[in-house]
Amino acid sequence: MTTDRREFMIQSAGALAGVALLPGLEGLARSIEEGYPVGIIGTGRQGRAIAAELQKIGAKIVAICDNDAPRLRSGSRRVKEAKTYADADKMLTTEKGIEAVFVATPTHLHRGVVESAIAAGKHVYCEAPLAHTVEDAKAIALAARGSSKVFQAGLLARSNPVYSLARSFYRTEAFLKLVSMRGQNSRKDSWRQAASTAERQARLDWRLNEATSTGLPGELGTHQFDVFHWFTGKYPVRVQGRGGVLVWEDGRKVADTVNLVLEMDGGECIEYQATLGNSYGGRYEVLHGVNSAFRLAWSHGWMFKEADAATQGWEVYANRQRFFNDEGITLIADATKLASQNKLKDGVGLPHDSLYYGISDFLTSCQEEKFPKTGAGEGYRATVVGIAAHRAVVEGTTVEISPDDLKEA
Amino acid sequence: MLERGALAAMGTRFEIIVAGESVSLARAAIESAFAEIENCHRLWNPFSADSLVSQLHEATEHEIPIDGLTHELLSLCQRLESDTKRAFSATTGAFLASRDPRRSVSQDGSEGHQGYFELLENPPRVRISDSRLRWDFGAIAKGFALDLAVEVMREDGIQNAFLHGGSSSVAAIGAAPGLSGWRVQLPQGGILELKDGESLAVSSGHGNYQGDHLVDPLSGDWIENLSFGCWVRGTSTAEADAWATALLVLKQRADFSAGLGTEGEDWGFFEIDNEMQVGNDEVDGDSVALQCLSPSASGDESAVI
Repeated sequence: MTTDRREFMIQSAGALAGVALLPGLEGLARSIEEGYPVGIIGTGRQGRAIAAELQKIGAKIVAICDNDAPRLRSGSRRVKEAKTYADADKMLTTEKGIEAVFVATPTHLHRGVVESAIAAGKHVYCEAPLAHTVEDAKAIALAARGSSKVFQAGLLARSNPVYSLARSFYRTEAFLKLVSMRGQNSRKDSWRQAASTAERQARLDWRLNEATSTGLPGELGTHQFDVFHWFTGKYPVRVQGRGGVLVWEDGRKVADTVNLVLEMDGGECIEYQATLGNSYGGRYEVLHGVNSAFRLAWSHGWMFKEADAATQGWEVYANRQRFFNDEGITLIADATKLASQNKLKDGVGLPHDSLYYGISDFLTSCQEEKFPKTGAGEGYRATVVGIAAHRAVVEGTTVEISPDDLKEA
Repeated sequence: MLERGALAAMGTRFEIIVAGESVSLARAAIESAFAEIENCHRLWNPFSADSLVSQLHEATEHEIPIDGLTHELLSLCQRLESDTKRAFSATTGAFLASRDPRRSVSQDGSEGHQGYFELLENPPRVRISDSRLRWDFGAIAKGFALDLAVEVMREDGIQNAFLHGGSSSVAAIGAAPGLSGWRVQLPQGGILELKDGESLAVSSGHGNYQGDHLVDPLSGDWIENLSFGCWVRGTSTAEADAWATALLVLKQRADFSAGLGTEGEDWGFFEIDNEMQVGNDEVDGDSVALQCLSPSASGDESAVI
């Protein structure tokens, strides 16, 4: 990348100004028509999180649906005004006023629900990964392509203001040239569900079922791999995986700890680790460049400059944080505005969860009938990579990903 | 067999003890319950700039969409404010900010102003009449989170569990092994047995940050150097927490005409001294340590928290 200093100053000033225009609690919501009618299919933890963000945005949740009665009750408590359904098709045929549908069912049930929603003429937001098999993911992507409505995959980095800001620097002298990439997702969480009956527990434990799970690489990695896809504009050509049940020895077969290397065609590699056994460090991605490194942690982001990198004018306003021997420049949306208000404090992060920005982008696309930031194609390709990475872990081998694998049609 | 888990959230330490289930199921239920509590933390923590309540404090518009749980909590606060003759209020944050620099002060820097809010429905919104309003949910948010955790654990099929936040807010599901309830030792030594579905809250008025933290919302007067604490037993942890705080204020006012709102509640005061351990809350300090008792192998009762 050969952007000169003057051009970089213009670009970065533009980037900062652009981010500074991103509104806070009330502003973004106001850009979306209040009372926009939506429905949610799947009211587990993710569905309820979607509901909460929709409520903050001011959308009207007309109906919610779940075939698990306790989860539907839990959703209904949070969205009192919504009608409740145990059957998605019944909701879609009855609630004709709903414009957009959010699909937050278990991954292996996405396909049927998405196809029904598209057939009913709805805009569709589908959680990622899109499916547990390439076949189902392809069917979803093709159905979305055949629809005149908006389809957005729930890959949230592309809507995240911190990530957008970092990506604007990625394309400049401040980062210069990619050296390596690393990601991790560490949590202390069994992934097991508790239920009063064996039948319900089996249904809720779909992430631990070999037939329905895409494992840690699919369920968690897909979201993070897409960060690297988006920044580099590339997809891996092969993935090497190792993993096992190292912590939760409760009879499960799905690995609770995985290590991956995803290689791109220029030799660039992503090292990725995920575990359910330890939460240290949490979830983040790191991109190392010749002039700086980015550490991106969803609500927060930092740039670590190399000592020989040129000083940029905007650094005067930058907030910094120490990380042992390193000093990170905080990448924060609204930085210019916050600095002017003397509110640029240590550790300041995004005012909302990433989900808020993803949903806001989707609803804006629906109302303006424009292509979403994360369409079916991006969702399909990220899902294929996640499934391939899971397969690499299960087989303990290297899985090739050909360009044809990444074509949805 | 007791399975336990702990979580640091909402400025305190939550702990859940599950009895009589397999380890993996108990662990899974505890994780579900903690997920609810963490969600409450993200929404209502006044010390985090990322929380919803902090965002509401910074909002420049007067009518703001909010999530359903926050709407439910604010609605409960409104009712309890009325029931307690304003001995309890969730809008004392500006008062507290004058003694606690970690709290957000009003946008114009004024202290001690409470302001009012109005709740709107379908979709849920809050209308703020005065931008100087600062919420402080304190113990009621902790109790509300525990009530949600209880609901989730019951849906997960858990039949016997003991939950507490900061050892000052307690909720019981079923009973301890071999007992007809969960036995809790009050700070001055009395023992209460909580039956299935019962909650217990204690309040002392002492704060761990710069001492006293209790203010009479009606007069704005600080309530200082209390030599007594209060416990309330009921069927809602959130309401028991709010009433435990309110009763301290009402006792100071010498006004007990406000009636306890929930059927089945009972309550009492107890003496405390300055040396007494005052809970383990980091921020609201609204606690006096309780101890959950369970029979030991020898048949004696011993503290399990």
